Amino acid sequence: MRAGQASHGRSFAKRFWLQRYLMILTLPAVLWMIVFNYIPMYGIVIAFQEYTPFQGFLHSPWIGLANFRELFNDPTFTESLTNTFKISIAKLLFGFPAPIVLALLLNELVYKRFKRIVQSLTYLPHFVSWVLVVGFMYTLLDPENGVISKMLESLGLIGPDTMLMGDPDAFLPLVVFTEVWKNIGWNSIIYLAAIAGIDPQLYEAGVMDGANRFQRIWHITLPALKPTIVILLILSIGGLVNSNFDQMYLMQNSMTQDAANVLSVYSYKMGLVLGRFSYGTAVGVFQSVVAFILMYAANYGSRKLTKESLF
Amino acid sequence: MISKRFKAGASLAIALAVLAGCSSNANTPQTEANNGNKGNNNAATNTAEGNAQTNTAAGPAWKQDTSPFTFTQYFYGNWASNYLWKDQFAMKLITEKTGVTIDRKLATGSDDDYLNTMIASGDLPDTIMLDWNNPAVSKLIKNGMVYSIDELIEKYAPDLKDMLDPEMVKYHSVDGKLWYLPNYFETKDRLTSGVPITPIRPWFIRKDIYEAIGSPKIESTDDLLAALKQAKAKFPDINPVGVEFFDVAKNGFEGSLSMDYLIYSFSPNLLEERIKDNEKLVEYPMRNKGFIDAFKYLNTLSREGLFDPQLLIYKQEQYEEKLYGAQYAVASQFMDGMYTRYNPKIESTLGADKEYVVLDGIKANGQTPRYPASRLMGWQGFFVTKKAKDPERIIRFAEYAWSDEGQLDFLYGKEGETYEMVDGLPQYKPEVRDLMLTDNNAWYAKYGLTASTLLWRSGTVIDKAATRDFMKDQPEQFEAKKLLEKYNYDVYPLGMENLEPEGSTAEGVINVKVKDLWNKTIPKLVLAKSDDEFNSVYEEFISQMDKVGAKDVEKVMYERHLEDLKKKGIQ
Repeated sequence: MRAGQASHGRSFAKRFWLQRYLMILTLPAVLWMIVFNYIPMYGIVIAFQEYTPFQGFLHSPWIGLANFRELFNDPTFTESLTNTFKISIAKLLFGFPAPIVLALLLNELVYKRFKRIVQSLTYLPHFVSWVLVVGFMYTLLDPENGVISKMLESLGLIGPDTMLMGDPDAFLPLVVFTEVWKNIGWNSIIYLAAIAGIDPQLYEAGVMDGANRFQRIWHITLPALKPTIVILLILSIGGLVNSNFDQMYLMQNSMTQDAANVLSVYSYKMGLVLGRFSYGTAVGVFQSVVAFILMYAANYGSRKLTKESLF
Repeated sequence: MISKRFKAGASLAIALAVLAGCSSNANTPQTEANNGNKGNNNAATNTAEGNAQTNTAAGPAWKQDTSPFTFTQYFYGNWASNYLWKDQFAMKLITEKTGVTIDRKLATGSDDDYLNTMIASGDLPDTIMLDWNNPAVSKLIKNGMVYSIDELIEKYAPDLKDMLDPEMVKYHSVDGKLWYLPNYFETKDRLTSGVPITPIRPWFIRKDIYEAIGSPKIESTDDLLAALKQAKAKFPDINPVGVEFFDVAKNGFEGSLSMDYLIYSFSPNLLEERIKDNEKLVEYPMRNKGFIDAFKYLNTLSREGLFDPQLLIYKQEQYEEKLYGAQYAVASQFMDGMYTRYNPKIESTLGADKEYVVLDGIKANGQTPRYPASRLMGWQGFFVTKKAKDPERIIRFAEYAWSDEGQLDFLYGKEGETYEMVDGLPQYKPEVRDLMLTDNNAWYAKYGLTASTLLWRSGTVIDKAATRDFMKDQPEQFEAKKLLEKYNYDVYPLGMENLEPEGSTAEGVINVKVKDLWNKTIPKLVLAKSDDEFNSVYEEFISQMDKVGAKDVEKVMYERHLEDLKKKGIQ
């Protein structure tokens, strides 16, 4: 404590010297970061080159922004960008609050055994791969004998013989629903952990003051969760340009291919399937830059508004 | 002070330990690799000495050095687990003779991803077996990532040169050099000799349903439509028609491979009609009326309630599952698959009466179908990459594999043990043949025949033996193939092979866009509710296709068509 206070305000070099043992301890991690995260980043230069594997990224000819120019003139790219945002925002809108609500509900359960069972059952889908999930979907949504299709049909929500998997309008709801179903339990774990850290005295005081359950959630649990929620929200906003590749790639078919065309699928098709490495990388670079800007903006906004921020 | 010194020491020690942990992990494989290289260098010098000694003695190059040698190989085809070398009979035979072992690897996941990643990173195996018309081939060659086979032959295995079919060398040379050895290059006589070729996916009808509707003659598209209606009336729970999955990127412009059967009925001269010499274009098939009529026919089926729209979005697995359950009255499947996989399974689980029998080719608008039969111009090329540690041994091994002896070893094994000569033709011993017919996977696991070198070479002896065995083993399929053979014509002189532009060129990008457009147009066409809707969807597609620049691709396809003719020595 004293050392910390004393070092405050001193020059960087002096502080560095004082913390030299700690610095030595962090050294391996820093080196690891440089070797595996920063050095490979140099590879993005191929987005500005006419990359051929034989010449490698050190000797391939430079073409400046030609790839990006082509990118912005390609209507498929614009479409994929719109789709990405559409899907991500819908996912954020429904997928972000869902685990918070689940965590709050679980926290209010008195019967602990039931709570544990529900918790396990809700986070199990997280471990099922998308390949299987999409396989289930084809079976469950089969217009002739799919259980869910039949149920929706008898409720009058869809007409007879509706091919949900082949309906571009049903694509977005299906994407969001499966995403929420798959990850709601897993994402609620972090909130449950945060809730567990709340001082029980606060609740006791609340009871003494006559606060009911809802008031206790509103005035004690949620404010205590605020830092966690804000940080996760900032991270999610940074992830808006990344839509889940597995899910999109597997769920698309000839009838939904326009709705499923998102940035990562586009980048995959251009880069790996067609073997246009530079162009595919350009898409990836664009994606990263936008993600960075979004996250930075979210962080800035949050720091101004709530005084909570990631950095 | 002590504690300080201790702290410094401790933190340094931990940091070093962590780093050392990393570096030692990184170092070991390297040193091993170095040792390995040294070993190889020794081996190489040994072989060099060996050459000096044995060169005087005449004989096949591969016999000069039969010391143990392993090379790695990537096989393009993640399905080929039967081709892995695991001490099967044929593999052992080859290792005993030549000393060579092939460490064959398959892609985990998509082959194109795996291959492109491999090329992008330059991390290549010693050899590659890759479809010779794969777009990556030109990348391998242009980037100088593979040896020219000619040069290797000249240097190390001159005898191999005389064993190669000059027509093949001419056809497969790029920039005047041969860069790979293609397997399955068939000569002209293949169309008349050997097992009959079935160039399309035939359509089949379920035996009991066919009988229940009175075994009507199905000779035209109208007959087929009538039969399907009857089948639907008598068996309301059954799907009338089953076709394979639709995906233009994977299957080509026909969308589903099953469409060929209809396309070549509605448009028997499709390939000739696509060539427009006056305009110097090879048209996309989607501009051809007969080609579109085939889709219109499917649209008719759909409007009559005879076509399950799910088929448009099914993946192959879902179709297979239903086909194994014989849930279609009429279903399409490639000939061999139907007779060796589906029918036997259906017979054992559902009964022989639910097996499928082949339909004859059907006439559309009074035209007799014509199926474009091509003898194979080769399946996969055998590439030796610049990363190969010992190209000399590899090319000599190829000489062995290409020789008559190598072919017999590869296909039939060892005389007296796995085969015997009957009337001058090799024939599997009864136990080998029985296992092959009853449990193909077990047969591969035990004998590994037709899976070792993979360098099939066509030849009359092998063709004859194959036909004889095929007639005996699969009389039903042989009959079916004979039935459809009459519609075949030789597509070789048309010069329509390998037309589409490479993916990384500007036209290649347009081509992908056209394919994307067509891929999503097919379901709209098939599900159109009226002729007007069908026509407007079609016209919309054509105008979009022209907008993205289809004409440019059609010009390139014409150039490639001329090139193909030139390679074949026709023009």
